[in-house]
Amino acid sequence: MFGLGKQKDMSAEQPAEAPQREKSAQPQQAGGQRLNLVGRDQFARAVAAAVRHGIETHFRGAPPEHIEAAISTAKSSMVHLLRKDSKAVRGLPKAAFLKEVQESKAKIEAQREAARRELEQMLGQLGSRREEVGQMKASLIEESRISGMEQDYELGQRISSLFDGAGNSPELEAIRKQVTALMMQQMHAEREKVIEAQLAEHRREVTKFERRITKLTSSLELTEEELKKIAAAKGIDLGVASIYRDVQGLCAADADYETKKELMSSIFAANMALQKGTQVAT
Amino acid sequence: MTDTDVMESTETNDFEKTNNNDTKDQGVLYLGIDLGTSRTSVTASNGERVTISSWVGYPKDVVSRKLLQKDVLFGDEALEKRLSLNLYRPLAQGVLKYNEDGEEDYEGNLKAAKDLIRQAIRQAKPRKDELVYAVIGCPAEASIHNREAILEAARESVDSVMLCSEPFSVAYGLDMLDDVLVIDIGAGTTDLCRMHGTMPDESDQITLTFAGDCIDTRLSELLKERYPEAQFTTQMVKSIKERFGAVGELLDACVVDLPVNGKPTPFDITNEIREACHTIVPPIVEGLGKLVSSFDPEFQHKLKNRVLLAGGGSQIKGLDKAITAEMHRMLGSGNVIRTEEPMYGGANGALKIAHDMPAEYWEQLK
Repeated sequence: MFGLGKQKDMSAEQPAEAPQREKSAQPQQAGGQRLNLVGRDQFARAVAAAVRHGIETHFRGAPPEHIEAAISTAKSSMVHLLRKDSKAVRGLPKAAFLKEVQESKAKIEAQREAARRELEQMLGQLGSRREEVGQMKASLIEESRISGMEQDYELGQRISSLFDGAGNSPELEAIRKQVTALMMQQMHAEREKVIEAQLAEHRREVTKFERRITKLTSSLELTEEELKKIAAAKGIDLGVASIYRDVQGLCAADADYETKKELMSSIFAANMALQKGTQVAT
Repeated sequence: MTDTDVMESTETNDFEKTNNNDTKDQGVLYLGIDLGTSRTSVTASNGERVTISSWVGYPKDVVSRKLLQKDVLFGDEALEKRLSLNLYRPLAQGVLKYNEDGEEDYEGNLKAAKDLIRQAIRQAKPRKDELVYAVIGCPAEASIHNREAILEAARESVDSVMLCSEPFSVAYGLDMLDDVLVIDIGAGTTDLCRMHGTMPDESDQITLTFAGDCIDTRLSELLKERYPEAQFTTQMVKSIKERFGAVGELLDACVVDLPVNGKPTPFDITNEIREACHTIVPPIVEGLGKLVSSFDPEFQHKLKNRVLLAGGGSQIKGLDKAITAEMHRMLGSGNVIRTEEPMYGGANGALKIAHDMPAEYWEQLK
């Protein structure tokens, strides 16, 4: 099937039918441009007739076999050229197209839901991880402080015992104090390194979660875009979002709050009665 | 958005509401719907507001269906293609009973009412992932069967729905809950409602059949009587009324072209319009008189001075002044205030009720 003329409104609303079938498609909507579709056979016949006409007009008396040969060459060249320059176009009946669109939409919606669920799960895990890291840091510091005090004491005792046999001169006492201070300093630095290493592991996990969340968020945005595109392709309006995220209800600061509360209650009671089939709603 | 919007099929709609609440975590959409005899208006908490003509038409046979390429048509398009359609205006006088030929066709009207409600809700563009809570203002006169039918129809498209009387929703929308008389003039009925700080009961409401359709009928009669050569239909008369409707002395001249033997001929129908439009004034004031006289005498004066004029029929020019004058004549005093948005007064009020309704009430009515 070949399109002739301007092809602006070739859409699913004008499905391609069985191959070779001739069809003149009507504009899909006001303002659309007309698209004429012709079958391959019809096109070939038209080319043959045009070649014959050209030869008979300009080469009067040409032998019929030459004319036939020219037509045959023109036809095969035409098919060759068309195949060479043509682009494959999918044609689907409307019902199949709608089905396909629905399937794509359902698939994308499922992906969106899965992404949203994963995102929620991730956010939950991230929150608890952050909390864990905070708690862990505090407990590590506390543990380190308690055990550090014991270790410091033990280290001090050992250093003192090393100096015990060397006498009691003021110089030695000063050296002992210096050695003890240096050792303590080194010990504290090592302890901090250990704590930092433990916390870094958890921080890496938190960062990983954050990266994953960023990726999921952008994936969600993409699926939303995809849904919009599908809706646009089928002419579906996805709707307009409400300004409210939650159920509202009367606010205690409203004017006539008590009166309105009573009125709401009366309307509800009347509708409840109507639902149960006992009374007419107000 | 126009009232000629159509849908191809009532059976398949890709974004029809589902009852799966698990997927509705993206927000709450409130709808206020004024289900009228002539027009149905919707206002929504997503900012959408639409009015559609309350005509619903179904192809008469397979040939019409093939020609129209639709299972159901609404509004002006339905009216335009009426020769190929079984045409319904399902809430004529608040009663789902008769079709346009006068034959009983309750089932047909019921289906039309359901399709009309669905179409109205669809026009508000709800999202699939939102909870949709609707309050529908219906004629005070609507029978319990009508109300059940309306509820049934709405439940198919929303998560929870409540009904309330139209004049009440108009007053609620304007925060006029105490010592107010509401006149809601529709096509089929005029509802009068007395508000006194509590839910109005039967004794606070009067429904009259002197409304828009009644004016159309009277205008048709007058035109037939005075210009027998003129050709016109009820729809043409309705359009003339909507364009030129007015009461009182300061009325501009109203000249319309009506066909005479196929030739458009100008007719000055100023007096006929004035007379026809004035037919609803005395019965309305009489009804107001009943509501005033049965009220606490101490507050009767206050009540008479807070009369709210609403509904599509209230757009008749000079109607507020005509009712005020008639009240002065019959009741000694009166002051009529026109609502700013006659077409959306009921729907806006219903939306406000929906907003103010506590969450647990909506839950219980699911």
